[in-house]
Amino acid sequence: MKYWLKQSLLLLPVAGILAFSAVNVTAQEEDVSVEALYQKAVELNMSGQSADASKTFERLFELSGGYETLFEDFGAQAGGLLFDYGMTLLPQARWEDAKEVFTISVNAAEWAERVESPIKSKNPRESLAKFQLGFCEAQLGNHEEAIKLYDEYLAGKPDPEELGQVRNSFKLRYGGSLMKLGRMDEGIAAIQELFDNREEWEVTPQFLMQGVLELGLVWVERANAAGTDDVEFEKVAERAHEFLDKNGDLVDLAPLDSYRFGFVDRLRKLGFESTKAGLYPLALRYFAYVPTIQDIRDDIDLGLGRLPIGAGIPSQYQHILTQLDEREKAPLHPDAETLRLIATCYERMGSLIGPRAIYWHLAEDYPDVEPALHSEILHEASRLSSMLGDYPAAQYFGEAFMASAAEDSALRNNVSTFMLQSLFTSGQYDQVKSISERVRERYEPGDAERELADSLYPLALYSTTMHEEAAEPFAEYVKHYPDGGNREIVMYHRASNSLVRGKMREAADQYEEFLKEFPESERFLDAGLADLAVARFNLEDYPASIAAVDRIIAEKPDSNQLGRTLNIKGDAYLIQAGKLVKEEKDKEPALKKEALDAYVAAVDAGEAAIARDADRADAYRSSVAEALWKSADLYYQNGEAEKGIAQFDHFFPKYAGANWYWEAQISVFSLEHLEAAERGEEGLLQVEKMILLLGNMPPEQQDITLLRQAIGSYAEASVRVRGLDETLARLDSFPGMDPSNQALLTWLKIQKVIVLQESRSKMKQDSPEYAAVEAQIGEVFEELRLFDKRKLSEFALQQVGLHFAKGDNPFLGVPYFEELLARTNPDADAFKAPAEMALGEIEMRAADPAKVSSARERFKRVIKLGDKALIGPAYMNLAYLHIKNKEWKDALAALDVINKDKNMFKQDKERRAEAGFLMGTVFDELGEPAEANQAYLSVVSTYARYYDYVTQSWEKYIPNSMADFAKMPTATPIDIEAKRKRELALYKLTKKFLFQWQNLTDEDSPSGALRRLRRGITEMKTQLGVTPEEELAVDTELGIAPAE
Amino acid sequence: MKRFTTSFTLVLAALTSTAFGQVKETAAFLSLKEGGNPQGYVQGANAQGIIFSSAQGRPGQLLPYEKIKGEGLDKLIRFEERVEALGEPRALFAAGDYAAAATAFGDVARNYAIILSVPQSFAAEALFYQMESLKRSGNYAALAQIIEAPVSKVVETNLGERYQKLHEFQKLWAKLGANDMDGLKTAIATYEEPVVGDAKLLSTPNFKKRPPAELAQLAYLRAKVYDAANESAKALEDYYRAFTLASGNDDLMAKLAMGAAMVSHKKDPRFSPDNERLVSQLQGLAYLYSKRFGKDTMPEEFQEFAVRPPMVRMAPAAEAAPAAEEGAAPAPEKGDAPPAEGEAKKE
Repeated sequence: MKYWLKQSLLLLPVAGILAFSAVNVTAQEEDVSVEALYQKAVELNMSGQSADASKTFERLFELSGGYETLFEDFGAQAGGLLFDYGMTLLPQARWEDAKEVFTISVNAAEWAERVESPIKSKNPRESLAKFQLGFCEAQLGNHEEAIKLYDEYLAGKPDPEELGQVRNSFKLRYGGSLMKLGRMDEGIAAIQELFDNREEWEVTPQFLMQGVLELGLVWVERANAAGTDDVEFEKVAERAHEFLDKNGDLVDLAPLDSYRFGFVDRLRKLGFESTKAGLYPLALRYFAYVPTIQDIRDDIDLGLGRLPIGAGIPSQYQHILTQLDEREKAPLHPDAETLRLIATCYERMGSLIGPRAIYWHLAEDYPDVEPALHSEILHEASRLSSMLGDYPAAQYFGEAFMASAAEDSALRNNVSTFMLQSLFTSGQYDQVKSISERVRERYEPGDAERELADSLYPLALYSTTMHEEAAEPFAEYVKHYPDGGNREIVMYHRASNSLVRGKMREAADQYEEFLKEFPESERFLDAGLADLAVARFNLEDYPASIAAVDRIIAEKPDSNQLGRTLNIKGDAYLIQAGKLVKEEKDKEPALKKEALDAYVAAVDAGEAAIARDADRADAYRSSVAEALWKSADLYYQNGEAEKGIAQFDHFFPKYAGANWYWEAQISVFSLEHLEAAERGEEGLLQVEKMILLLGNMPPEQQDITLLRQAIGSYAEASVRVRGLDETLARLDSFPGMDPSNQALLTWLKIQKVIVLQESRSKMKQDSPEYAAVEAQIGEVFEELRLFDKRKLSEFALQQVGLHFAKGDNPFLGVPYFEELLARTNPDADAFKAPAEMALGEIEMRAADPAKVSSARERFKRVIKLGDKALIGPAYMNLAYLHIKNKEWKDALAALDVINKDKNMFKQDKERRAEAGFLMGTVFDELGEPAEANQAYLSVVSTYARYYDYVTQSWEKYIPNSMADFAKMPTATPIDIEAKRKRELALYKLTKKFLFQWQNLTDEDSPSGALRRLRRGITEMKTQLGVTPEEELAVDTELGIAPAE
Repeated sequence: MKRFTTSFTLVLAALTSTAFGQVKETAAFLSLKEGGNPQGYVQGANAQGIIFSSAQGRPGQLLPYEKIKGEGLDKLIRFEERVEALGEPRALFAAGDYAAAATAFGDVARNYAIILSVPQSFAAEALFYQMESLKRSGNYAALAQIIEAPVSKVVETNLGERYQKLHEFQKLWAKLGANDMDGLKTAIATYEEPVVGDAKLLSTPNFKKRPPAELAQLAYLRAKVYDAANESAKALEDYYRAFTLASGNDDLMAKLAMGAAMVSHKKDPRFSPDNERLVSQLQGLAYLYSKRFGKDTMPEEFQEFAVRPPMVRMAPAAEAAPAAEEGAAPAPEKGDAPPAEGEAKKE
């Protein structure tokens, strides 16, 4: 029972007084005497109908003529009646009205005196009215006034019995007001008294809960007042926790009690206010006192179970059950509402799992809430799942959202975002593409809502190797989102995409742009520089490639990219060393030293990366394997075999299997050095492993050249180490050999022939040993012939054929190519053009015109088959044949195709130089010296590195020019001068070229053109009649004149 | 009669020594379909009826239930001692002193074992409350012992529908108390939705729709199953469900679940002092635990984490409004974009 209800009962004596002086205003159907109305009001108030009670009192005052009449009639005692009226106003929170009434009650004596009441009575509630007046002031925010009134109440020495009855409320209110005034310690102490004296003062748990609630609101107020003062805020929070730590267990009410005393709603409200104030852990503690609706029902169930058998549901239980039913009909279930607040608290405390668990539950168990709210719940479940990295769940809730949310839901794009993020991270790129496309349709490029979709779309295309398709969206993103959140990852991958597409120039430019915009990119700086090094390397801009690697070393010395990029740096130095012209050869040792240093450093960098990132160890092991082999190779080249072998020993067994290519390289090319170090047998065993490894690889992955090198080096070393017989025996029965691997068997048998031929070369032709070896060779060929070529793969057929084609007897290759051409399976198609080409090249050597004609047809078929790599060589072969047959126009046509298509022999500039030179010769044959000279000049100016063609071209250019000079008019001095100028220009250019070529030897110009040019310059001088003055002028212009 | 004797013997065997000694008979009012409302003493009971004597101490006779008014379990048999016998244990239960309540209810069940088989008897009610008290006090092993005893069947057979749902959960907790993880797993599975279609995207199966307090219990029990199977990540999710779905209003379960969740957090192979996100999760939980249950009650290894996590003070937009404005997704993490298969190499 609430305190003020008890107080109403105490006032019944007042009613007794009134009974004797009833005012009979009317006596029709209803008794409206003061006594009757008073009794009715009190009863209504006792039954909780405070509003009706107030109205009844107000009617009483109206009918009795107002307060003054009452004071006239009853003197100061009327203050008691007003007190009771005030008590009906408090539950309605009519604080101002209550304040007025209690003020009158406090001043009842003055009122009686003022109206000159003849009744000399006392207001029995004068003191208590001060207490209630204080409460009203407190509710109106006037805590100082409240404290003053509370103090006055105590100072008035209230009756101990009355004080005993109001003490609990008094302590609660007094403490509350003290705290509101910032007198925290005093306030808490006052309320703490309730808890400490709960037994003596008979304080019920309900009342203690009231204390918790009152205090809770004060904490909220204080926390709000603290504003941004974190220290003060935290102090408030700590005090609140301390209080709950000490007293929390005392307010643990049963669910039913908590509900029927009204605490469920108040605790939820307090939790909400605490959440609003940022007191999240405190709010969670309050929420932990809140029972769920089902908890209350369960409690009722247990209560009903305790009733005697046959008893029905008592009305008070039924009333609560009905109330609960009504509550559960709310648009959002009360429990769900509480859970959303709890989720907020957890999330603000940094927890994601808790709120996700809640929204997951809400999404699954409350699907029938109002649709917009359901969408919000699904949105939250998706968002939190995404933040937790549980992307499948983000997708699950996201899809549920997409299926149920309104088309114009403002959250739709958010959810797409969570799903996109989720799908992308979980590698579901097709779905990323699909959702991105939908988002991209809904918004304009550059809209913030499109940013993620616009970034993930090309990234998804990239990740699904749709590199061509990704290029445009990458570019769009970079264009439209200058401040985009994903710009860094997009810009990096845009460049990477170009690199993958082989667009080296674009890639290099885009990496440079990326590095300019994100010079300190935490995520991609080293990868960006490493890729830039690759792009620059492929553009043959080796200094720039090296510079990119050096920047990684400087800025990201611990980068895991360092191993592979140091290998690139080493390669760049080596290529530069290989490109040095004669006069720069002195730089070669330094460049090779740089290369070696880079490879050695790559070993350390790669091993450091393996230690740092075991998940990607395979890639790092491969880069270490590469570095070990390349450094070993350089040591071997430098004559530092011991150091090279040390790299070999570093390689095995630690990096065996890391990369087959480098493993084969170091195995094969260390063999002779191991042999020299008397470790030949060890080297042979290692190469045997490599022969098996290389020979057993799928045909399309096989490196036949390396396999042949391995077998060749192996056989040679084996003869030296193990002897001829043992070597032949091993080649016959190779250890670990798969007998069904006919391709490898073929190579081994061919090697056996080579070994036998080698041994034969040291024998006398008519000796029995020679004959025996001949017989052995014949046996091998017979075995080879008997091999069922149909069992060889297309690749093996091609490679065996090519091997023979390049050997002493190219016709041995013919059956293999013919087998390829005869095949009708689709896999063979790719091999047909090379087979035609090889057969054509064999046939074109023959003297038989029919074979030459056949060759010509084959080359035409090659061109028709469209294998880009073979079209250029086919035209070139056609040109050779036409030239051979003096079919100049046909030859010119073939060479003209090559000349005009810059992509032909793009990687083989020497062939282009040759084609240009041949074109000149064909023009000469056609009697078109001007066109011929144009072709020669083009070779000289474009392909300066290919000395033989350059010198030949110039050699041909000179007579054509001289012939042209001879045709020039000489009628006038101007004509003569013009002619002389051209003659001297030719002389000067020839002299200049010869000066440039002064370090070349005959080896650089095997055609002998250089030698002839050197000889011919004197003859040219004579022929042109170059005077000493002209000679000096030419030399001066060329900067080669002797010093004066 | 033989059947009655067997049943009775079993009951007595299960309920061993008593605090005050077992009663031989207990006063009761009956309402008979024919024969008025006799007052007398119930000296025993079985599935068919009660042994009833109209005079104290005199050997009674079997009175079949069909002769007593009332349908089903609602037989009009009123025991005079019910209120008095259950008074103290109920007070302990209401005060939340579940350990003492379990003992007190157990005493009642034992002392009045002779009426356990009477429909809706207060002895069966006491047995039910003993189980509920053991569950609420966390004494799952003792709960398991009682549930496994044949006598426990009377709760299912002789008490009304109102008790059955709570009893269903008592049986689940008893499986935990008996460390019967396989049995618990099988039992929990009946509360789960089938994992079909999109539900396969979820890390743990959904539970069938139930009130949050029940879901919280199911989640805790399933977490234990996951833990036993070393599925720590799934266990962690369920522990969080256990202390959030019903506001964490079951103090004991909230404490157990939060403690277990902290252990799961630290078991996460990704957990390290450098992983700010995971450390922050643990800190938030440890801090809340320390505030709610006291730092001293935490294992020492977690005390260092019980520091106030950084909290953004921000009022909810509306009551429990979703934080939609925080929805911006983070940029993909490093390495999110896997290298394309055709990654460029040096040519």
